Amino acid sequence: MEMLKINNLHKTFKTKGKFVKALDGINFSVEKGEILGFLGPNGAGKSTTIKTIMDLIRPDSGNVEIDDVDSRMPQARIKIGFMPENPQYYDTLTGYSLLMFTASVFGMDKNFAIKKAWELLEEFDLKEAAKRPIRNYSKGMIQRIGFASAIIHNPEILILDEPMSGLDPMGRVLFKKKLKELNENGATIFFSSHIIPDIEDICSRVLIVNKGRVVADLSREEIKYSTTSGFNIITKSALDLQGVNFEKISNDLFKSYCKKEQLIELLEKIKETKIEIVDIEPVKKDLEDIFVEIAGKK
Amino acid sequence: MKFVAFTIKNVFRDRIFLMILSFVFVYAAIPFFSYFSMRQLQEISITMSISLNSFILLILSLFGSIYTIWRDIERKYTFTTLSFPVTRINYFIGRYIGFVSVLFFITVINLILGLIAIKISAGFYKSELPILWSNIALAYFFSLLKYCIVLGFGFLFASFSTSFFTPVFSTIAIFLAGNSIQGIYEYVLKESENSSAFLKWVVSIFYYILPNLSAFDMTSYAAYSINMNIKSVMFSIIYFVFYLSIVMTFAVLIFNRRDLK
Repeated sequence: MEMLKINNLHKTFKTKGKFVKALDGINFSVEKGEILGFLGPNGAGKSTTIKTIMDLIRPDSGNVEIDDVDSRMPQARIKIGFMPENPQYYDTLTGYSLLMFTASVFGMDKNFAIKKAWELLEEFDLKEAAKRPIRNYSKGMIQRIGFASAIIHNPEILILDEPMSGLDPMGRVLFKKKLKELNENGATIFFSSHIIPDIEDICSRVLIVNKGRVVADLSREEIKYSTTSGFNIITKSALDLQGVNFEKISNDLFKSYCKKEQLIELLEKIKETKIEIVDIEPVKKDLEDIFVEIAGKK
Repeated sequence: MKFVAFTIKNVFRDRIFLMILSFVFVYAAIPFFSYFSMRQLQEISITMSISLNSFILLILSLFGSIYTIWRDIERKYTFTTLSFPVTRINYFIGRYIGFVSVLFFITVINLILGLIAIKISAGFYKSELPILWSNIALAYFFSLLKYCIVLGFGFLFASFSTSFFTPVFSTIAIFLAGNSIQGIYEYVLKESENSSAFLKWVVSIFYYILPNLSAFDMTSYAAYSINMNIKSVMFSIIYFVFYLSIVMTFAVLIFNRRDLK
């Protein structure tokens, strides 16, 4: 069942007398219960697509359907929780009043909303800052209160634009955990990012977008494979193998890099020497390299 | 309704608004200043009270035009508010009505303070004219209508503007032009014999396009206790409804088409 359907969106902006094509016939859908990652470089059309879904930008042609309702209809947004990139909130609001305002707009029962708001404030470690104006929040705190505001009404679809940018490692872990939990409870999640590990960790499917078009539609396994250039193999001692260089990284640890096609061959050689392998860590490609590769294949 | 209540609540928390609101303390000085007018204390205090109300409402209207829609777009607050299940029209009109409610509330406060100031001033020297309290209240009411139109223009300019200056200075320009267009029209078309046909045509066009804000100036009726003609009062109200509807329709149509990048 398709929760979100993006049908052939086109959008051209006029900037300083020049026409810039932001969306060039983008087409995709998000299935119920999916966590779909939207990966692309800056200027690829990720935010424009998300803003079009939220009816903040009107497309030149094409349309968006949210659970079979046209996204331009306000009732389409009842099922949505949304967090924009670098969210900004009214600076006179406190964290708590933002959550209560969101809850009231979505028609939540006041007592239930109060309970839910405090639960979320607790969960996102914002309880102490709950009554402080948002203008005094740090960037990470704004991201967390924005996320809490996006999920207070238990949305069926969660749309997030670069939700983890600007978060510290602890914040990222918290976000990913919460996204997985929401997904397990039935929420469909669609989020954009240009950070590959964030996408890999939680997405069941990934769309790669460039120049306003979807250039690849990959499963989680495919994205893991295509984003890995090779592996660092950490061993307890250096090996004297032809064509393989081991670098000393501590007193008793050595590291060697091999391309992903060479991994099995190298592992077999190490196995023969009976040297202990401490770790095998994948080495990720730059996002730019992935686009060049995918564009080359296309 | 959510955005009406939201606007009212947030305006009263804003520091700039509170600074503007502090002008109401000037009402305390009205009896003192009207004392310099020798025998026209009552008339001057009425004029000063209505003018002070008008000044406060003007500053608030300008503030309202940038505080609401323009700032929401500029600071990207609309990304959140318009992601809620509401129409853009609902949001836009809600913000407008919310701010008009603030203007109404301030007008009521001004009226109460103005009446006290007038009563004190009138007590210093007995005027030959009676005080028509209803005329004073109506003058305040018409000031409110006038600034609802000014605020409507602020919203109209904010609906398409990306710069801070457009809504502020265009609204000030409309305010100045709207206050003087009646006088210019009468001078060019009725009093000046040297006016060319082209000038008359241009002035006539502007006369019908620009808001005739002097139609809402009831100061002389209040200060000199002149009985108001019910027909002209009704005409001004109908003109207000008609004109504001047109301005807000344009504003909503433009805002509805705008891309919020």
